[in-house]
Amino acid sequence: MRLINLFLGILFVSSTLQAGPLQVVTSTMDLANIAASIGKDRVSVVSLTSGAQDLHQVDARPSMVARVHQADIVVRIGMDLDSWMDSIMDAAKNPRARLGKPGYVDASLHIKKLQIPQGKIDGSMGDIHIFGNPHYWLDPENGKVIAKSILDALIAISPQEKAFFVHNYTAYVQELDGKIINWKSALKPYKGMKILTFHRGWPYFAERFGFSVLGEIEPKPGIPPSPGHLLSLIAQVKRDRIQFIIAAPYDNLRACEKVAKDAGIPLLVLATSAGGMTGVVNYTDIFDYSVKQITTKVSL
Amino acid sequence: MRIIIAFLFVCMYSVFTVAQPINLAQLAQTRIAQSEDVYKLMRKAPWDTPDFSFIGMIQGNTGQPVRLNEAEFVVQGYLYPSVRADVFMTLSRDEVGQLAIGIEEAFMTATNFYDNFGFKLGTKRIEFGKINGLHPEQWGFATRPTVLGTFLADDGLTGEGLSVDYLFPLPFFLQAQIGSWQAPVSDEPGIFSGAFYSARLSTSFALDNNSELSSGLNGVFDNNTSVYGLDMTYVLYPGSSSRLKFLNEVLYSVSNNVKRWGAYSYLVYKFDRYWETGLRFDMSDSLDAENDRSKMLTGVVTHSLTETSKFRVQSSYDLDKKSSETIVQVIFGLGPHSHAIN
Repeated sequence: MRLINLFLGILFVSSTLQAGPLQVVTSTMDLANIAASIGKDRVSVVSLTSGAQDLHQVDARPSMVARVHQADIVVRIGMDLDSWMDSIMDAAKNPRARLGKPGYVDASLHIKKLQIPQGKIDGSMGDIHIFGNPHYWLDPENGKVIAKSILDALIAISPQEKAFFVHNYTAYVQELDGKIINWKSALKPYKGMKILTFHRGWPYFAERFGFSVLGEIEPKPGIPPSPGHLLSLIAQVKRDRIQFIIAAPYDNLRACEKVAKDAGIPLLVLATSAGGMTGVVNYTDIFDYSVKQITTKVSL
Repeated sequence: MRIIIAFLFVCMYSVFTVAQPINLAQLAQTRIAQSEDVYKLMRKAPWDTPDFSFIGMIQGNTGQPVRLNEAEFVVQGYLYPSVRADVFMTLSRDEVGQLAIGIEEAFMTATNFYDNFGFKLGTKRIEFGKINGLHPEQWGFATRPTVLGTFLADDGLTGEGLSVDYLFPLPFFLQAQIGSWQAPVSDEPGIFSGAFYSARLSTSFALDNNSELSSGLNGVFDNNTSVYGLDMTYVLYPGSSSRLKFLNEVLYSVSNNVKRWGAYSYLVYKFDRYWETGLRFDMSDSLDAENDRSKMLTGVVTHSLTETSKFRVQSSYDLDKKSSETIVQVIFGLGPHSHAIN
């Protein structure tokens, strides 16, 4: 009898714990930051990953299951970058946030996708994402698209708060628009510059700000560079007048530094997510930091 | 007769009319327009075949030739919302070294059957501890921990039946699972035979953003044998791609009043996405003789090409027999392959 009472007590406590602000669980810090900007005090947002993590290398952890189980809304990057979420969603037994429910948000749904592979793909091409390049949040214009998807979900789950969410969304988009004008203005003198990146993770960023990505330090996505490949890149930098290299903090920076040093061009280590580096706290900080790095370290 | 000819003519006409070359792109557009929301919600592009994958394990042991040791052909997919099926067909070496075809697992999972309850139905590896429920390519080492092979089954404990799990609606992970299973009838002592039952209570806490502590209480029972287990795993993520994992399992077996125990500890450090190295200590009583306890130390180095393709070198030293064995293993995976969270 005591065991039954204990069991019922646990159930009661757990059900009362679920009252309060909407529980939003996201697969990345950027999604969490955008969701918090729209939901403000009406939402409690948790990201399953930190901004410093390589999203290709995330372990699905049981504690994530508990978080997704309690979520009213689950927001994911999609395009198979966070495919580790699939097993968590299955284990979480949360009917509110299953595919097709208002609480399930694939933030990539309305994104104009780049580098969608055509025809047959296989391992000889490296780690190719079959739905296109998934690093779309690195274009700040796509931040607005993500915000709209989250807004729609918040309204669907909590329609009585629609005016509040729309107000916050509008303010967020206006702030982002203002910042995008400033970022583009600051980077205008650098437009057209040729660059290298470590991973094929920057096409959205490059397209937005007018950089031309001529190659990657990785010979193919997810494949570590060989010494021969690095030598060919050094020659390419000189031949094609490539002006800088972009890498993420978790990339193989030794390989990047080798090319940068031998070719005599700067290496910029940029955050790919909110919380990914010191001083990069919010989604917009990614671009503030990137613009500052480019304008201070790259010569015109 | 005329009516029949007219009917056949109309049928043939309609067939030829319908069987004009189909513009697939146009058809796809039409279908998207008709049910745009459904297609937009789909995680993948619209096709209805399940995921097919193949996992091969090539292995060479000390004094033995390098050969295909085991292969899995896997079919996976959803049958219905929240209901999926997973079929793992295997080619594995039998006692005389011949490759034999078998079904390793074939089960249906209802991920959310009723209010936090789910079930699995079919032929299934029993979820006892952290390793028995896994397939060999998911382990961090080439050989099964001695105690699991001795107390559960040489190739892992598998049963045909049903398990029901319940996820407690708590701020931390707590899940209970019970199962009722059938195994082939055997007279061998310590081997699960006929009807047997399983139970597992598992929990996990994120200690902070970079570490997790998981634990489980396990049991399998039949008329003659009971095996109890406790597992505990600590995982630390010191960097963006690095990971330290410390996995421990202790098992206690009671079979026809014969009591035995055993354990293993596995410490593994993943340096980056490509390299990891680990050390495992095994200790296990023999089921056949008293005061016969084996102790083994195993070192492993693994280089991963992808999530499912890796090279591994493992060297084990038997502390009692003073003998060693080295295994070279290549695991390769083709196609989309997934497993439930462990």
